[in-house]
Amino acid sequence: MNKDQLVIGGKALTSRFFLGTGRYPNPLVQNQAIEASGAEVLTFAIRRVNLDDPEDDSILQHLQDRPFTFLPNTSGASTAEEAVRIARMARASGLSDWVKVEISANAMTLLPDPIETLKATEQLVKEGFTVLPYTSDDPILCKRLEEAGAAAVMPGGAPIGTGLGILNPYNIGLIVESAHVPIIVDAGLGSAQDVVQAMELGVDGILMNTPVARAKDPVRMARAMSLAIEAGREAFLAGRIAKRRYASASSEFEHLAVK
Amino acid sequence: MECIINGERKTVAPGATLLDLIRQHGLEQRRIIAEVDGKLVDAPAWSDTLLQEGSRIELVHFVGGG
Repeated sequence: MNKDQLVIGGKALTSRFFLGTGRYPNPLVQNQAIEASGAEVLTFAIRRVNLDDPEDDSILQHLQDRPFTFLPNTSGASTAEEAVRIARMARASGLSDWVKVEISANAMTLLPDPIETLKATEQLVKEGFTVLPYTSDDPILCKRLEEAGAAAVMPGGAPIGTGLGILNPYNIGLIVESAHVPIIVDAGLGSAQDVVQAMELGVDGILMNTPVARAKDPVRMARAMSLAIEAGREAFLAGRIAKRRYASASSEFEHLAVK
Repeated sequence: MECIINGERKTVAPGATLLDLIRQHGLEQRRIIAEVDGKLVDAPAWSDTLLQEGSRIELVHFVGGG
């Protein structure tokens, strides 16, 4: 079999699964879910330290020393300027120069602001970041983000945390067809079938948090999603049959024994 | 004197450095990121950074997120 490897910003990744680190029942389950997922890229948010509660822990303390790639997001930003500031803070940690640009324009939908997302991507590319913008599933916008220097483009399947699946598979298909950088479906997926659908459309990876973290059994769901990514990828590479209107027998009729 | 730390007005001893403030909250061993008046300050420079009356200090860290 040919080697089928995902490379982002010059880095060859071992997994097509990007896993979020929010909303798990506890750090132990989170660690086990990360392990079961096989994910190498983990996402984080940046927030103020709670000075009144020194035990309020930084998420990194719970991670074992595996060679993860850290993908901090700019969640909480509503403008390009705020996103750039958060990205610079994240890089100052010394952990990573990757950043997921996430700029929400509306508290109810958390849908990304396309104009600000493009502006922030342009600026952060100039500053040498490896930029992975979370964006709406608009093919033209995704192309513009690629042209701005995004290392990968991450269209949402549906609004964050909704579990509605891929609302516009036609658009995701168009985005994949014309892309020259990896396309990661980020946000909105709910189930393993959504993951398979995305991978069969030809996307290069999946970024997910809530469907794993809030599953009844997050560890088992992490493994299920990982298998779905693999199944969908293999099916995409294998090439599915064309759909047809009428039946077509699996055995030839000519040699059928008749009375 | 008073400084604004993570959005809240707090009293800080005159002549205190950023490192003093971070130690006071028991955060010196933690992977935190510090910003003073909109400028990032790397850990090696914390001890040389004198806080001024009205300084706006942000102390942030990574938390779980997607």
